This record gives sequence, structure tokens and C-alpha cells, in this order.
Amino acid sequence: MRAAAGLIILSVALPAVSSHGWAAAFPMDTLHADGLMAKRILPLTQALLIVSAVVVVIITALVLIAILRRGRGGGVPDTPIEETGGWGWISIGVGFSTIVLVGLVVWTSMTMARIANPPDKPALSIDVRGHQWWWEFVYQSDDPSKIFTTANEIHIPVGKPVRFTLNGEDVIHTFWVPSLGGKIQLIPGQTNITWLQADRPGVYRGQCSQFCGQQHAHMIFSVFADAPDAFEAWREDQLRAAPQPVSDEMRLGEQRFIGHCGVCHTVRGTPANGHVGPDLTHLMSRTTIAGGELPNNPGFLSGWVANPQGLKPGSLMPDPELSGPDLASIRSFLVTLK
Amino acid sequence: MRVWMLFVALSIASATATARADDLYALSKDPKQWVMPARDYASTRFSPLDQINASNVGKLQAAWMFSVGTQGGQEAAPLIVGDTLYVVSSFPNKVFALDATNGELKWTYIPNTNRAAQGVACCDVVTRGIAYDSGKIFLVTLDNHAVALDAKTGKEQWATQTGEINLGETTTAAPFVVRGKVFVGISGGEMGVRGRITALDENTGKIDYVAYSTGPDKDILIGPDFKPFYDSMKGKDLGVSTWPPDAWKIGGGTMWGWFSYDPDLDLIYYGTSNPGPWNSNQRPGDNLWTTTLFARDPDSGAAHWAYQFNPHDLWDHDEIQENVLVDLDLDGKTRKVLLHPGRNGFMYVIDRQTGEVLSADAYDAMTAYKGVDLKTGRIIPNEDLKPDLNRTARNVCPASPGAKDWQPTAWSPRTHLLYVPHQHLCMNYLTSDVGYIAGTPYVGATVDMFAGPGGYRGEFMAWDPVRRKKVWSIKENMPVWSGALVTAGDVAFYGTMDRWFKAVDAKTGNVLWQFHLGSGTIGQPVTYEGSDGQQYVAILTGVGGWPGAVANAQIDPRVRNAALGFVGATQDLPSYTQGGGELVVFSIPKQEAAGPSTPQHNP
Amino acid sequence: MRAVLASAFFLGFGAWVAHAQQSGNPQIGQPMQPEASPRSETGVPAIEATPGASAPFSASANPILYVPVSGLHPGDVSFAPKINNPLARDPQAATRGMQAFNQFNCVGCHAGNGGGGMGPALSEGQFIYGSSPANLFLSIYQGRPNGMPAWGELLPESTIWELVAYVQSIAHPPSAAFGRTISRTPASPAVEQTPAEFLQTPNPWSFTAAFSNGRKPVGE
Repeated sequence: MRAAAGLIILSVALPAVSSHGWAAAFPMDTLHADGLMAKRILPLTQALLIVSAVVVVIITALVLIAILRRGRGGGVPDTPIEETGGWGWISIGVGFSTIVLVGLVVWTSMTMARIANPPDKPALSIDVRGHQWWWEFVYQSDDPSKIFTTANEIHIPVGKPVRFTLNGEDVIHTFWVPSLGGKIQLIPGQTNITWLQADRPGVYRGQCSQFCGQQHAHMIFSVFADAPDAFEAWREDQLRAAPQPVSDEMRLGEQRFIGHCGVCHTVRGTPANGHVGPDLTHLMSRTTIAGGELPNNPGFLSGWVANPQGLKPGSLMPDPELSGPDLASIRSFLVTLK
Repeated sequence: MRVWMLFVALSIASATATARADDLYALSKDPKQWVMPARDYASTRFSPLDQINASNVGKLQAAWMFSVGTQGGQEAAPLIVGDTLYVVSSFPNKVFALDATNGELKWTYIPNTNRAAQGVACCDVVTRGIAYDSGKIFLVTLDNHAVALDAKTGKEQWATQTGEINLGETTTAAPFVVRGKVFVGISGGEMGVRGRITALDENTGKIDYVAYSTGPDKDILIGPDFKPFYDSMKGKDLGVSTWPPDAWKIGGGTMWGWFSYDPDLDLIYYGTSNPGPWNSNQRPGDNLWTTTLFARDPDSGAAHWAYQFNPHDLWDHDEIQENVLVDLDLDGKTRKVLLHPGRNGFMYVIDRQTGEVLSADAYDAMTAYKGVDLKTGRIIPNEDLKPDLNRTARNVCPASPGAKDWQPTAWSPRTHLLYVPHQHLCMNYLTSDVGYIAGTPYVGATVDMFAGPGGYRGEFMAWDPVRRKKVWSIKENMPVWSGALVTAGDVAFYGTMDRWFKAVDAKTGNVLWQFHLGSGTIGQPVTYEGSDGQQYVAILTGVGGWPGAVANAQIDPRVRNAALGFVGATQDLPSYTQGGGELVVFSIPKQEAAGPSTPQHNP
Repeated sequence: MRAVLASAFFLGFGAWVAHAQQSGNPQIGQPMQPEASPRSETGVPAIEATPGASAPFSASANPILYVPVSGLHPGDVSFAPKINNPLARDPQAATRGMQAFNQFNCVGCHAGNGGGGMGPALSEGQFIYGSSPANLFLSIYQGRPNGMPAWGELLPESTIWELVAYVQSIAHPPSAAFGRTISRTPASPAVEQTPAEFLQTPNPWSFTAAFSNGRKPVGE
């Protein structure tokens, strides 16, 4: 009871206080909205929470009363108790529940209608392809030379709606950024469409929320909401191809990368154009690797490339069986992919 | 400084080259010889010889044969220069010089062609012919070497490498010579190759220039002389902006077909292949300059105009087919046009000075397109048939090899008809995501072809480009994959994959004579006069190529999707023929020619 | 009491659902999902390739190098090691091999279901460089002179063994006799596979129809 009350207070009161810090500290908090869609859903979520809490309180109270009251009669335990006034309780209970539930259904439908379409024409369209266990994002454009692919981390302009088309590439996944909007599935053979709008600059965490196999828990993505200038700068950056190698060491690293990694990965600007794993053209611009599981720094990068099965067992990146010098060479190439 | 030197060099070259161009151009007019695969720069494949004609062709007999001794499909056209016949074989691309009259072998040239090239050739290890100029024979090998041989002795003069098999590149198109420049193409539209043509100096073998089909304007040699007729082809660096970033580098647009040349306008004409990969969902945009007809200045390569037949091609409809240069009477005026039998199933009549499409009419069964809008020049795709990812498009006509593939047509200035050997196929087509690994296929499509409506798979027809309709046709069981030949004797020749070589009346289409060859034929028939004054007709047999590899290689006829889906349409070919490799030369024996002639029945 | 029983039931059901989802049981409202099998190790030591090193002669070298490609053994004796596919007992290996077959463009040369094209057919079970698992492994690893690329430098050995498992699963000789006959009457071959644009399976020979002789596939 106290826990329920505490939750209610927290969810209602705290958003007013330091929401940016809250989003960073509790990235999966569904009671906190930083996006337009989430804000439209949030009152409904809170109402459902309160209703549920009240129901739990009432039922718990009734059960406790029923348990504790038994001793008050005293005397003859086998005396049958006359049931009087039971129908009144049932009518009140059923009637009240029906009214509340019907009201919630109406409210839910209205909310679903409100979130079905973005408020304005989307500023941007991103194709999302769910793989086991990473996210592929293809930024669309009417101009084909402005279409590009990235993975596991996206940037969107703040304050503008962004359209997402969702496809599952192998099994069903679910696209969910709790601070920004609700869950939508990525189903193989079917294209679903959703939208998000971030109202405040910041980083928002997304996670797959449909069990999709061994590493479902480590299928994480990040949404960076940027000011429009910063977003355009990021997009221009992503359109660039990888830099040409400038030293023999770099050239060797690129060669080794093409041989050992290029069959699965793409780095635009090199002949490596594999479509099995994530696009790595701007690998170093991302804050995480391995489907959001590991931080992106040279140490973890080496460890991941050397032994992906150790860090993410079952992942579809096989152990590449690299020698020490090959690994160092490839890593020194990867860190140039800014 | 370099511009000045270039100017001086060009002046000297053109002064001497003009003399050479006249030589080859003059030679191509000689009825007795056949000095380039298309017979002449206009690609008519028409011979002025009339000793063999509709009334006596029934007496044609085999005069002599020569085995080239290689297994792959034989697509080449023999050349006859003076009294020597030259022919090139499939891999390893041996060149033979024979006495054209009696078949005695004069010399053989065996290039050291890399056998690994067989693993990156999409459609059998074929070659479509050799070229001749100024006492030299020019050859291209499967592993991308352009070679010059002394025509008399067969001695190698130079060999230049123009491509790399580890990038999926091979060379199969016959070379083409204009004013001392040897033009070679490159193959690999299924391998993510960046398409181009290369011009080499015929004396030294050095590369003069390369004209790409994708990328920035400076690589395409698009400059101030470039004046395309249609708006959608006007703009800067369209070879980059009509592709996703960097996709043009592996975008295809190869050139594995035919060149033509107009000496008056001084323009060479050729078309480019499909874009890569076949899965169009990976390359949104018009994908210039694939499936595009280019008109270029031969000396500098500068593009004068271009027309793209199939923007954002969906079905592997290359447009490398021959462009037949004719002057036609259209609407009361004589116009300089070219006839282009599109792989997409439309017969195009295009003004060869400006690139304007004058007419485009379907010449075979078609479900993939609705028409060509002559105002904008754009083809109109059938929106109901789209190769969406992971969804099979069914009954797409024409199939990927098109209504007609590389097999060349012939034009008769006497009948004013175009003689078209072609196939009649439809297909199911399923796209899937594909990654690019250099030296491996870059396709992303599962294809399954089958006979078109009516159940027949090939046709040899006569088409009137002024009235824009078919005049007569002969249906065939198998795709007609051989070239066509037509003569002033009003006889047209073609061969079938089930081993028939046929002579038909050019006016009516009646079959006047046929001969059962040793193997199906996908070669190009030629005719010439021997030193004995007799007219000879020569054809290479040896089935193979894209449709025929199921008969000459280890391919399983029970798996329809094999050979990029062609096995679905020719899976019964092994029950008609095996592979082979023989040059067969026919003539009417002198005694027979003197006697009365009896016309042949239609068998 | 009823409440206790009810909650116990729900708890138990929930636990069973959770367990079923964990083990990939397809019946609980989830679509059929491919197993994420553990990566198998070949257990065969790799050879360090250092430039200029001479080939080891000792028995500690990788035994697969001793598998001959040729069927001619001078002296008419053979000590060839029998090396099996380490993934032979893994039922999912052929499925993963099929994915690798598509992802690494084997399908571009050998066609869907191994019918052949630029490269020879794999579906006929005729392998000129040997049909044992070790021979298939080496053909993929080393490449072959007439156009098979060398994949050993690029693909991990486990992936190559998965491809071997797939090749073995799609091979089906046209005839059980010593040779085979090609004719139209009687029809030989008499069957064809259901084409790959309708069905993607590592076991394509389970789905056949009558030979169409170049017409539309049966069922179109």
C-alpha cells in the first residue's frame, strides 16, 4: 500500500523535477515522458496504474477483513451465517467495475487514435530492420544519394516527428523507446509504421521488447535527439565515405579488414560491402558496440572482435580466429572510422 | 602544355588515321570479304552477294569443316579478309587462320588465358568475335587481355590487360576498330563490376582513354559537347546522384555487346548493361548511366548524347544490343535513325543525330511495361509487377534475357526488313538482400524462366520498322540464340539451339533449306566469296551461352533456378544436343550450280 | 482457498510459459524461431601462417591436409585419414549453412539449391574434387583452379563446415545406377524440384514435381 502510494507520488511529482537527469538515470522508466507520443500515452498509463493500485488495495482490504473478522462471531463455529445483502455488494462491485473499465476502454481507444499519426508531416523517415540481435537503420530520402545505413544508434532532430517503417529480418522483434513512445513489432513479411518525436534534446534508450532468442536482452539501441543544426551536421558526416588509408600500416589494416570482416560488414569507401552484420562506416561515432551491449572504446572493441562468442554467446558473429598481429591491424583500421 | 601536345598528336593521328579508316570502311564494302563481325560499321550484316539466292539455296551443301577444339559455347562471327578466314573459339580463346576456300589451317594462336577466369564469367566462357584492321587481328580474352596479332603470321604484336578477374571482370564482346583505335568492352554486370569501354591504340596497345558508365561526369567523359534529348538526362554528375552513396562504384553498366559507327556524323554508338545488383530495392534512383545508349566521338570519347532505356531497371534488361544504322523514310522525310531491338521488348527507332525516340513498339509478349512515353522518353513500368523484397513477382514478360538478347539482327536494304532472331520467355522473379564481395556474384535475385504464351520458346521474324509491325515469323521450340544474316540473293540465314541451320526466303519467310549441325548453334553466320569465285556461308556450331550451358556443362536440369533461372526454360536441351565446337562452311557445288534448280519445300 | 488454488495455477502456468519461451517451444503463441545453437569448435588446431615459414612435416600438423583430392593412389594403398564433419550431429548445421550459402554469394555461382550456373551443380552429388566431407571442406577452403574462389582466408572453419553440411544435404544423384540416361520418351529426368522462389529449405529434394520441359513449373 505504501509502495503503491509512493509510486503514484513519484510518477506524478518528479517529472517536474530534473527530468533530463531522470531520463539518464532511469532510461527504461515508462512513467516518464520526453516525447510527444509518450506524453499522450502517459496520463492513461498513470490512470491505469492508479486504478490498478486502488483495486489491489480494495481487494487486499476485503480479503484481510474476511480473514481477520472470522474470530469475532465466537461461540458456535458451525452456525450457518445468513447471507443477506450479498446481491447489493455484487451489483455495486460489478456496476462500478464495468463503468470504470468501459471508461478506460474509451479512453484507450481515444489515446490510440491520438497517437496513430504524427501531428505534422514527418521531417524524416527511417527504415528499421530488426536482426538477431542488432538494429539496422536506413535513413530515407527522396534524393537517392542521401540515403545511408547505420546501426544501433540514431540521431533525430528535436521537436520534429520522425517516421519509422519496421521490418523483421529473421524473427519478430519489438521497437520500444520508453521515454518517447509505445511498442511496435517488427514482423518478417510485414511492414509496420510508427513515429516518434522527442521534445527535449538528450539520449533516449531503446530496447527490443519481444523475446527473440538467446541475446534478446542485449539488443539495445540509442536515440540521440539533437538541435536541428547538430542533426544536419551529423547527417552530413554519416553520408561521407570512410577516409582513404594514409600509411602502409593503415593500408594493411584495411586489407585485413576487407578479408576477414568485409564478407559480413560494409565500410563505404572500401570494397567491403557485406550485408550480414552492421554497417561500420562510422563505427567510432557510436557510443556502444555489440548491439548496444558494450561501450565503444579500443579495449572493448578488441575484445569483441577477438571473441564475440565470449562476450555475447550465441550471437551470429563467429569467432574470427585472428592472430594477434591481425587483430591489432584490424583494430587500428577500425579506430579510423569516425 | 599537355593540351597543346594532345592537339599536335591528334592532328597527326587523324591525318594518318583517316587513311586507315577509309581502308577499313572501304574493305567493309567489298562483297567478297567480311572484315568485321557486323559486316559493316552500320551493323547491317547484309551481304551484297547474290550467287546463292532463293531459287538455288536448296542445293547448299557442306563444303568443309574445322573443329576449334574447345568445349564452351561458340558465339563468334568468323572474319574473312582477303583469302583468309579467321575464327576465335570459346575459352581459352584460340584464334585460327584458315584458307577461306579449302579450309587448310594456316596458323593457330593460343593465348595463355587464366583458367580461373571461368569462375567469374556469368554466362558461359564465350567470346563474340575478333576484329581486323591494317594487317592486324585484334582479340580479347576471357581474362581481360586485348591482343594484336599479325594477320599473316599470327605473331603476337602486343597484349594489354584491361580488367581484373578478382574484381569479377571478364571480356566477351568483340573488339571494334575506328581510325586506329581498338574499342573493347568489359563484362560483369552480375559481379558488381563498374562498367566501361576502353580505347587502345592499335599500333602500340597503349590505353588512350576509358569511358565509364557510372560515376562523375569526368569519368563518363560528359562535357560541353553533351546534349541529351530528354530532360531526365540533363544535369551534373547524374552518374552519382541517381544512386545511393558509393553504389555506383559497383553498379554495372558494363559493355559486352555491339558497337556501330557513323563515318559521316563521326559518332560511335553502343549500349550499356543492367545496373547491379539485380535486386533493385538496394539501389533506389534512376541508376544512370546503366541500360543507356551512348553516342560518342571516337577520338576523344566525349559523349554527344545519351538515352537511358530502363531507368531503375528491375528485371536485368541490359541494352547492349546492336544499333543498326539506317536511313528511313518517315513521314515523308528521310531520317538518319538507328534501330535498336530492346531487351525490354520494345523495337526502338531513334534519331541517331539527336537521340530522340521516334517510335517504340512491343515486338514480343510483354507484362513488365505498359509503353514508352515519347514526350518524356521514359518507359512506363507496370506498377502491378514489382519485385518487392521477398515477394515473388510472377509471370513477368519478357524474362531477364529479354525479348532479344545479344544475338544480332540483320537488315536488308532490298526488303527494308529487319531480321530478328529472339526468344519468347516469361519468368518468376524473387529479390533478396545481397552483399558485395569482390569477385563473387552480386545479384540478389532468384529467377525461374519458362516458355511464353503459346508454349514456344523462340522465334525468327521479319520486322518492318516503318510500318512498325511483324511481317512474318517462324516459331521455334528453343530460343533462337544465333545471329542473323541476310543477302542480296534475298535469303536470310539463322541457326537453332536444337542443331538446325536454316535458309529462309527473305520476303516470305518460307524455309528453303535446312541442315542438321553437329551441335546446336549460337554463332553468327557470315558469307563471302572464295578465291574460286564461289559464294560460301560459314557458321560456328557449339551450343552453350546463357541458355545452353545446361547442355555443355555440369548443370542440373532438375533445378529450375540454375544458370540464373534459364534452366527453367531450357531444361530439356540436353535431350536435343551436347556442346561442340566446329566451324561448318557451306556452298553450292559448281556442278550443282549449273543444273536446274528445284525449290525446297517447307519441311 | 479457491484464490490460493487460482493463484498457484496462474503462477505455475506463467512459469511454464516462461520456460517454454526460454527453450524456444513454438506452441506458445510465438512464431517458429531458429535455434541459437552454441558455436561448435572444430577441435582441430589452426596453423599459424607466417610469411616464409616452411610447411610442417610432423603429425601434429592439421590432419585434413593429408586428405587426397585424387582417386589415384600409387602402390594401390591408401592411408587417408577419415575426417567427418564435426557438425554432423547438429540438426541446425544445414540450415545455418543455407544462410551462409546465400550470404556469401555461393548461390550466385551455384544457384539456389545448388543447380549450378557459373559453377558446377552441387545438387547432382558429383564432385570432381572429391565428395567426402573433408574434400568438400578443402574445395571451399582452398578454392579450385577452374574458378572456385579460395574462402579459407575469409571464413572461419565453423562456417565452412556448416556449408559442407548444407552441400551434403542438397546433393541427390539423378540415378542410383552406374550412369544416367537423358531422353524425352521415356522422360528422363522425370522429376524437378519445387523452385526456390516458392520454397527455401535445406532439404529441397523432399519437394519435387513432374519434369516440365521448359514450361511453367507445376502449380503455377
